[in-house]
Amino acid sequence: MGFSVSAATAVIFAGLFLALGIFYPAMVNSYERVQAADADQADRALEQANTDIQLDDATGGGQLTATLTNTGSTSLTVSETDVLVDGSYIQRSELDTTVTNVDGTDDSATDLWLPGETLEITYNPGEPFNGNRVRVVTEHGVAVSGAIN
Amino acid sequence: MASVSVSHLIIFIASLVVAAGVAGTLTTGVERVSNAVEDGSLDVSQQVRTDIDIVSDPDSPSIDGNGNLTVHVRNTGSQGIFIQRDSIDMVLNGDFVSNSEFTVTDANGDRTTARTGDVMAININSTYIDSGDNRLYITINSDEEVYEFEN
Repeated sequence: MGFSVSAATAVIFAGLFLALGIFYPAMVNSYERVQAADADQADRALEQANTDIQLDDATGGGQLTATLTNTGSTSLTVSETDVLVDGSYIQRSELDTTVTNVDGTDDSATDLWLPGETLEITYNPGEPFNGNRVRVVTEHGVAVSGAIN
Repeated sequence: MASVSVSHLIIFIASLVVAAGVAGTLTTGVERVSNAVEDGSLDVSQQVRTDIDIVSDPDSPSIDGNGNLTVHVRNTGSQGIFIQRDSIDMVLNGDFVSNSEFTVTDANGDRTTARTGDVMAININSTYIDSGDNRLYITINSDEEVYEFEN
């Protein structure tokens, strides 16, 4: 009788250890996964709060020329900056961009729009252009809009 | 005397069988819960990573000659979004927009997944759009955005 109890207890304890061994890694992996996603979201929120752009000027006529300044403290991506004219989305491939560095040199090949730099976006639709309102959206959904002069 | 040994042996085997049954049931249950927790954490992390933003101008919504509305949505999260109708749930002025009443495309090409920074164009049938004030509620993977505009 005594040995039966010991043997049964040993089997149950072995089962408990096995169950714990299955549960522990699952919990740790799950926690780390959610933790990483959370940290990523906090990073994005911080970057969004640090991002700010300003529309200096937008002129119409034959083509649209919008001049913007990165007044925030994050570097932005030129190729991920979107332009809407009177609510219509302009495809990124139709935009010409020039970034003017802080020291005044122009660069139309760069994809980086750093803090303090000026971005000039030109859109030439190939036909007489008559828009009234422009909206520029950059990374993290930070947007400015204004009238076209 | 032999009968005592036999009965002890039977009780010993029975106790082992019961203990093994309990341990097996416990392990199976815990394994099932572990799998569910892993699946749940995957869903939660994807929901946390998903973030969208409405690009369209509320002041001048893009409505074509037939009255269809185009809304541009940008992926600002760190999780890709499939550019397909099943990814998007929308309620416009209190009416659920069914999958057959809108189309979704890549605004800058013909990709099937919107990665971080990509823009999707959602075109909604004119029957849902009221004259005057409109309110569009978009949900993608539990991330909600509201777009209010005037027609």
